[in-house]
Amino acid sequence: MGYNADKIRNFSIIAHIDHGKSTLADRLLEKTDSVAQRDMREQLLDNMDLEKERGITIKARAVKLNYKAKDGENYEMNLIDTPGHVDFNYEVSRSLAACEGALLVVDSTQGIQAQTLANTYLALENDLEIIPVINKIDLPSARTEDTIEEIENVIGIEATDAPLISAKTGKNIEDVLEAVVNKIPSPSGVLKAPLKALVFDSMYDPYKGVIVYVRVRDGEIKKNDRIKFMATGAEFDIVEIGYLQANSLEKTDSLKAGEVGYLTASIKNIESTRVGDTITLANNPAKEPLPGYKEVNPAVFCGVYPSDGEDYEDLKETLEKLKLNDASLFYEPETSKALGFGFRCGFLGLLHLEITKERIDREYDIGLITTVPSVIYKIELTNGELLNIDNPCDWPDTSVIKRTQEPISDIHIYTPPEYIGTVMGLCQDRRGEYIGMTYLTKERVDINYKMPLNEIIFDFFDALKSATRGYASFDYENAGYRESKLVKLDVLLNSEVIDALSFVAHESKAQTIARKTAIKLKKHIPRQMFEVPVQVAIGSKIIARETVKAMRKDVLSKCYGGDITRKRKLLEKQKEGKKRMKKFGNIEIPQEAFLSILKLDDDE
Amino acid sequence: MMMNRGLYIHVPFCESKCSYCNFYSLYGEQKKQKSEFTKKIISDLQSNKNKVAKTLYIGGGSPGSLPYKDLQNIIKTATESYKISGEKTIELNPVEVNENLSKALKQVDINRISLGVQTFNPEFRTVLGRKGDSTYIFNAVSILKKIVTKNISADLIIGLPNQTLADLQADLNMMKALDIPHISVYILKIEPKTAFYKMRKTLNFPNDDEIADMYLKTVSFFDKINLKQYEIANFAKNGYESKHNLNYWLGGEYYALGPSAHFYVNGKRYFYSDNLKDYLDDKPPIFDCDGGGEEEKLMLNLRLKRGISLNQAEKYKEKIDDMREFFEIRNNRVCLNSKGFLISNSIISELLS
Repeated sequence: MGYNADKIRNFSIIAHIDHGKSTLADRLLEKTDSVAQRDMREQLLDNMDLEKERGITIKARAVKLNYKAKDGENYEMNLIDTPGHVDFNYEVSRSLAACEGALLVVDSTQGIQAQTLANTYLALENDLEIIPVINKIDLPSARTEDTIEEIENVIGIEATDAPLISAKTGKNIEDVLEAVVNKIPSPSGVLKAPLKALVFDSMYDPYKGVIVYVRVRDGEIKKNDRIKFMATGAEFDIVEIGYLQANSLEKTDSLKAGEVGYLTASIKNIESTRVGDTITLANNPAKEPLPGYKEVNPAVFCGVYPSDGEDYEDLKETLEKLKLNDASLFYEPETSKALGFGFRCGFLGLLHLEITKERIDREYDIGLITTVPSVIYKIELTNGELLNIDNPCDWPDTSVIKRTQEPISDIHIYTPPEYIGTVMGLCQDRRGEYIGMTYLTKERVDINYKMPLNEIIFDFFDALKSATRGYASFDYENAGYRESKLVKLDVLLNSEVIDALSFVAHESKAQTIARKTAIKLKKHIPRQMFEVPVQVAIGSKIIARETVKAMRKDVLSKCYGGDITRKRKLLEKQKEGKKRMKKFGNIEIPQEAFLSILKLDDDE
Repeated sequence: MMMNRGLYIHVPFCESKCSYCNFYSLYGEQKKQKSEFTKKIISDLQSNKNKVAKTLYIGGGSPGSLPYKDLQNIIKTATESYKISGEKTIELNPVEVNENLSKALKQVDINRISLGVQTFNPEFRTVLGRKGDSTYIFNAVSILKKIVTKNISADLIIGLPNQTLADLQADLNMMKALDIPHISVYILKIEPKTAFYKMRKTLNFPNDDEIADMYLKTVSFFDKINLKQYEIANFAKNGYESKHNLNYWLGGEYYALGPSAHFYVNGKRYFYSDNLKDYLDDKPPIFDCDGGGEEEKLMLNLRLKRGISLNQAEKYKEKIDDMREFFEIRNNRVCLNSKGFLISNSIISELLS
């Protein structure tokens, strides 16, 4: 099929988590024979195990589909998948910028949710044609009419002729493809203009180096061209160029205005291929890059340590590997008196942190201990010096602090009205400042608060879920800094400060949090051979205290001929267990104790 | 040190299954199985060529549930074939004890009895699934003393559901009244595949602190009536320590026969599968692991009040010093005190890590 920009359709699928985005993508691949039946497996675009398990897409992917439409013409469609979570908003926005249209998938049993709106707004910002698609109509609880009404009222787009589908059963998938052909405009680039290609994703391949995913806006890009990344300034010679197939790369000679594909250029470092950057030709550069590039910076930090010190080198290698595919991951070596050698890592948000942690644990099998996440605090010292603190251990002495500032988020919570009171209570507990409330429909309210990011990373998601029985969803974005009275809390075990357990809290909440922390630690630190005092302090002032009682019983009272190997195995297991715990003097602290500090809100 | 080996024979039959027990045993009448088992054990004993053992221990299950003739046959054959010259113990359930059984045991020179008392409290006996009441226990001890031997041991379990310190005191008083030279005290452990395991959520078991208090009370009570603790779970008048069991804790080797029985010979540990049919079919024992070694020895020796020599302790000096509140020095040897026994798993794993 020759190049014909009129027959190209670039689109994305946007949806709230679990509304069926990946399943719809699977069906589109099937329907267009983009993947041999035998290669078809569920959620093909989600390569990582974690993605399949959590039902979310972590990194964007793209795939070319060839579709013969009812009008008899062949179309080249590029489906650009987007991550479905707020942490990856920037990546979503760049993926969307590579498209002319988007399918907005809404689960007819759930209606509009937080990310439905957040992603729709992103798509509108990028001037995309939005095609609503009503999914899961096969389920008995489907509320198809209501969902259509919601879309029209809340988002304000026509939805009466939206495809009504079941991505699971494959019902009416063809309607979706026809809508893509008929409603999404073809790309409007200028072939003769200097090259402008948008980088919307990249991945590292051990043989080819970085594979850069691009959408060509204007001009043409050919094999052997010398290209330039306009933001980073890096230049490379193209080695390979081609289209993205579901399971492979299809080499070609050039990509022209409107097309989507990949290129490789022996690029060793993913840092030079930032998502959102514009590629142009080194010898005939475009005057202006494409709009919208920004450098994404990590907002949430924590210490990441191997539970077994011997794994340090492995952890280092693993982070290097992850970094190859994840430019937004930040890490640098740090040492902790309590935890030994490890890394300070920065993440886009909590989910990004969790996913990275789990990948290290699962894919690379390294047991981890992570410290309490922190945001970046701004501190002005009495001598006028300004500090950015992302690690509570670096918190200066109270006496030299003039003022402290913390990052604030603009948070939208979408909830059924019966939980308004609960949600507002929760937000107020977390130092939220009420901004406003909008009824999106009879069944859904958008509650808007300004809330410190520090409160959101302390388990807000779980607290919200449990307070609303899972019915509420939320979305947040950074909204600058605000002056705030903050203090650093230290945890002492056996009168010794455990640096890895230090955290920052608002002065008004310090006492409560300190008490809860002490109680939690008491509960999660296994009884030791000796009594262990647990204290929480601000500076030298102890504000909470508990005691872990000494262990009284750990014995195999019956040990005869048949019990000896069993007893030996038991001791082996105990020894092994010790390895997974961190030792501070005589005290062994399991990972749960660290995690417990994060979850202060349940039960007690 | 070449020690005197023991011979253990596992009799996998019981009248009924107790709620806490996870030993391999078949219950009910099992007439055919019992006779096949006896035949096989006898033949295994007879096929022994050069093995020599000093002590014999017949456990189960409940050896008293075998026909007396079979039991006598097994004991006699074992004694002759392995040239047993020392302690010969048999485990008995008090409800099985009568004059005929006692005479039968006397005829084959049984010289030590281990009696499964567990508790005297009628409610607790019901929960444990133990038949008969305390009169059976006293009668059994009286008959055994008169006909077989005074060298009787009784098992006691502590940490029973709803048990209080007062309940324990009552059991201890009864134990004292039995006037026997040896007592074993076990902390109830909820083993998988037992009735207790299935009921563990609904039963009210004492917590670790309560159990620790019970244990300490038990130790001091027996100490006062001259039943000296010589192992974590064992108390005896001077000279009445179980020779067969001491061999385990001193790291000695031992033979064994019967399904699920473990043996330790020439530095290697083996066991027979817990399946009577496998045993009858002559299925070979399964290799478990190499035995011996410093760690195993330390772990076993520290179960004993005899403890370890200063030499043996040298390597762990610093750690022992850090944990000195759990150790004591007696006769120039290092051993755990009662508080130490109670957390001996943690202490030993700390020493070895």
